[in-house]
Amino acid sequence: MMPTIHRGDGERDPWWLVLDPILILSTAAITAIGVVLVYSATRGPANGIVPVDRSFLDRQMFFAALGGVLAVVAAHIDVRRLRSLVPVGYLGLIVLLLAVLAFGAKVSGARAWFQVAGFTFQPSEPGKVILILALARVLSSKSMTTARLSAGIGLAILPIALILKQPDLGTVLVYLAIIAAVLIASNVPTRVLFLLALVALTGVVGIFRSSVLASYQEARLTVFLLDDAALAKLDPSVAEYAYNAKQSQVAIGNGGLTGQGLFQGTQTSSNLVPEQQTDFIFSVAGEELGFRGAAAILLLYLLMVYRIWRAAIRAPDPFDRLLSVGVVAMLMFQIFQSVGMTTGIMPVTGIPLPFLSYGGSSMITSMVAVGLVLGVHRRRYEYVRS
Amino acid sequence: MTLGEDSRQLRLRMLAFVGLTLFGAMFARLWYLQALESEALQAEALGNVIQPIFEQAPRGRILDRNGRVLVDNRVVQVVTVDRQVLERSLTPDEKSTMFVRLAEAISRSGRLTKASSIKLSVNDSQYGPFDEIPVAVDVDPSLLVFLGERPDEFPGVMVVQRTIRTYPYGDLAAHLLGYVGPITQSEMKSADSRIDPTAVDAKTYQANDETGKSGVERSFEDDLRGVPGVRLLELNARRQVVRERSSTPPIPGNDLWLTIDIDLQAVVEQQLADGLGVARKQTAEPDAPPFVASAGAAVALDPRNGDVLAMASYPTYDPSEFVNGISQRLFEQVTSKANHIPVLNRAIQGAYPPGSTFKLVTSYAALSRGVIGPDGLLGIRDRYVDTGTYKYPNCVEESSTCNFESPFSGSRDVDLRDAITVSSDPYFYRIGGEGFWPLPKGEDEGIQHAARELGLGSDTGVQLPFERSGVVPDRDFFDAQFDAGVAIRDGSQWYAGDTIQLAIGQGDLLLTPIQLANAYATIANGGKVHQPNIATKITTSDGTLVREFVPRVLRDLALDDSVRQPIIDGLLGVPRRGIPSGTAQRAFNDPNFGVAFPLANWPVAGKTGTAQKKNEADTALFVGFGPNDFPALGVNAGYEPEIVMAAVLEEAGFGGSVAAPVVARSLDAFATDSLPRVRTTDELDRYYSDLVASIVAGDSAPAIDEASP
Repeated sequence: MMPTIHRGDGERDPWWLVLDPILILSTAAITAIGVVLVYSATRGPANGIVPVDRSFLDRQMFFAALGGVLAVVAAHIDVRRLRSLVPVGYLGLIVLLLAVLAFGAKVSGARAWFQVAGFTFQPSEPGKVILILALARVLSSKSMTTARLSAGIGLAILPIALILKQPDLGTVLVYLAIIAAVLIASNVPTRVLFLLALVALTGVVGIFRSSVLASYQEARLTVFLLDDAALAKLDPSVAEYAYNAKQSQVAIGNGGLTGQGLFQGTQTSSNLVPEQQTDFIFSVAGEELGFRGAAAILLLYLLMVYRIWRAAIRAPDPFDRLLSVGVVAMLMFQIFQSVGMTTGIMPVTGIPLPFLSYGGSSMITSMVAVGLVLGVHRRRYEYVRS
Repeated sequence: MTLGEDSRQLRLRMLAFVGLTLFGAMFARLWYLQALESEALQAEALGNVIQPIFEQAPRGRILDRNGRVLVDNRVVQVVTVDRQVLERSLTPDEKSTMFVRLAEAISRSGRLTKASSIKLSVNDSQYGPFDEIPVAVDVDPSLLVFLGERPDEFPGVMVVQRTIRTYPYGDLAAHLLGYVGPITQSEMKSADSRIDPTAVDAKTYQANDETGKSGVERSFEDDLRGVPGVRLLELNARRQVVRERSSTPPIPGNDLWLTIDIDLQAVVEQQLADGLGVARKQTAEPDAPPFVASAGAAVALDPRNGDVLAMASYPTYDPSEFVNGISQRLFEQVTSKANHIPVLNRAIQGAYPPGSTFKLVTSYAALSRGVIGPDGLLGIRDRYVDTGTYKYPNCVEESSTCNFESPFSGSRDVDLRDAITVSSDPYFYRIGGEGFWPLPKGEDEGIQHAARELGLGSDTGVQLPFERSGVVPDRDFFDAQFDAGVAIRDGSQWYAGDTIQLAIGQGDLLLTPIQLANAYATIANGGKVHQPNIATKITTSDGTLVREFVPRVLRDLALDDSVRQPIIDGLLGVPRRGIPSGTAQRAFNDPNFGVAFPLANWPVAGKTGTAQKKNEADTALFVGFGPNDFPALGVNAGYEPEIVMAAVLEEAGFGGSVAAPVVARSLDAFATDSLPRVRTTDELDRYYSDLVASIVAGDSAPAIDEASP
């Protein structure tokens, strides 16, 4: 149901009407839960010997606050201004991705981070939003020419290649999900989509059959499919991934229906699940909050994703539609990949869970993305007005 | 290239469908993990983080029948190393230097310790990663401060308290008490099969836990061992302790109350050692084997109930040497044949030819089976002329010898009583050769049957480990030996000569001192064969009774007076001067030789034995019991024998000369109630230091609370 808008002369609608309160509330709720879970994962043994570690908590709260402010900015930015900023943003992204390959710090085997004054920054994270904007701008034109399609795909391939070079396979997969979804939502004819899907499929098979992926990357991607007996025969370096995945599932199972209670998860307080404040954050929710809590978080995500999808389907402007679809794809893929990885139905690839995982780059990127969608929502009323 | 609105909507709805499917998958998986598989995963989570740390409980004490503490526990300071901290804090090079400095510190405080031995302990794979590995035990408490102030210099090194075994009476009753040591793999296995680990008070073992290795420490292990305490620690992935989940304190083991009287034990041990000393001083005949007299055993039982009152074995060892682990060199010393294997408890593990002490068995066999009696070969009062040798009348070719010698020369006529008193070999040769041998097959092994009735040839069942059963030879035994290839004759070649030799306790016959004492106890008490008890009761550490040991009667021979009295009569003559004088008369009447025993008030029945062994001096034996009624002497007090004591001295000479004095003197102290109160080593130390102090000060010797030691 479309709300009825009474237009006054030059009168602006009240902010609480033009914004989407459900999207805001669900996002805020997930972010708040995330802050608590990050604290639980990082506070340390809390045995009275080692002081409780608040540093992650404080930083995450700072990131959330900063993200919130930037979301508000993104929501209010004028769409023409936004479109005009796309080339600058894209160029900046390419420069940063090149720079990170040259000067970035290597963390967990990938040269994906800048380290400045105690803060780390991962350019491929905001790159997701920039890619969404770039694709939306290029592919939103009423007439879809082969040149435009090629340009769009070309725009996407350049950063993907640079990120593969880091190498950060997980983020590449997010980019691919964004491209796929935006293409589907665009005016690209169905037969072309099928053709592209075929090419992509061939590419994936080719990648697995070639030596592009290091054997460890390939093993990481397939290890979750193995049973315990097969795991026992694995190379130790790969077995560690299997172990991580297994411990995460143990943690979630340990939560049961009602959970061990906040800060009471033994797997969590024992640091048995690696990277628990970032990629494996969902296992904290699973262990400490149980099925009730974890399912509630999934419902909040469902609500959030639905509101963005709703914005997309109702967006009268193709740019706004593609922008929203890109954000949906980005969030949806990250949610499924991260939750799937912690529960053992997806391979172990380091992808943050939006709003829940610790990390400034991810938090700000996700916040800005939701802010942009709030802008889409806002503009719908402007269209109605004009 | 444009797309209609409917097509666009359709595509977006398809995307929504994909999204919903993915959410469905996530919910389903979450339900699977948290509802369906939750139980298994929760169990796994628990196992991940809970590490049990066991703390050994102090073992129960061991007390004598009067509550004197024979084995106690002492709290000592132990230097331990935490391998985890060590590995985290130090490089291998730094570790070596630290070991050297630690060894120096421990040695300076008074316990010499080598860096190499510390390293050996720390690298011992028997210890788990969370064990605090002991590297030096019983160190000076000052180390606690010294090491405590230097945690950076000695990372992971701690001084903790532990209880260890102490022996207030030094090496007294060492064999009986036994010693403790770290549990071995096979002992662990056997313990695991006994113990239900799920029981709350399961006395489970961890590697290197202390366990009883011999003596009552071993046979009463399950009582003496306490319930280990356990702390459940929650660990993180780096195996660091997060918190303590629960803690169950250890429960000390139960106290074991022995049947022995430590004062009597001390006397018996002293007399045995002295007796061997005297025996060693004898000069051997030229060409005869020397009197080595370096080993022996003595056992005292209460014939009324089978209580072991004292049990001595010589040579002995100091059980405190085994505390903290015995050195290889010392272990070789206490197990070496050249030293006569000090750890061997000869009272139950030494198997000896009993010589003439066995005549009690032959007498019992003859009386109970009518060989001696109105219709038998001889009447009880029938006399037989003993000329020192015996010629077997039915000599046939196979039996290699027909003439049997004895140390006696001359001529005397003896009835059964005298034959026992003077230990006439020919009398008993005849009982064997003409009394038993001609009996129908089966009955002709009456001596063996009688011996078995008295418990010989099998374990007595005393609650001590490694008891030997000895040998009562018969045709079956010959068969077994022949089949095993260690004998050239089989059962069909058991000859008259074998029975004749057996009648005086020679041949293949082997008995342990406790069997001998127990057989005499059976005659003394009228026929009850007891399984000797070594313990009276078990109590908790606060004195609550856990269980009591009642007399265990294996069988009751219900001896008729017509069987028992003639034997007793003969035995009563053995310690006496008279007509005839007994073989042990000097030991019981001559204070320079033995003791002036109050035989008139406290008549002793006994028997000497002198067993011949090839190329060795004779084994000397004596068994005696008292007090007995002695109607012929006018003693009709209704006495029931209270004590039976057997002494066996290896390679020591005549039983009457060297073994009888050991028993005579011990029984004398018992009979006259003059057992000196034995002092603990601490009491002795104090007494001697006071003594030295008073001598220096010129005073007279200080009084120790009763008599001086």
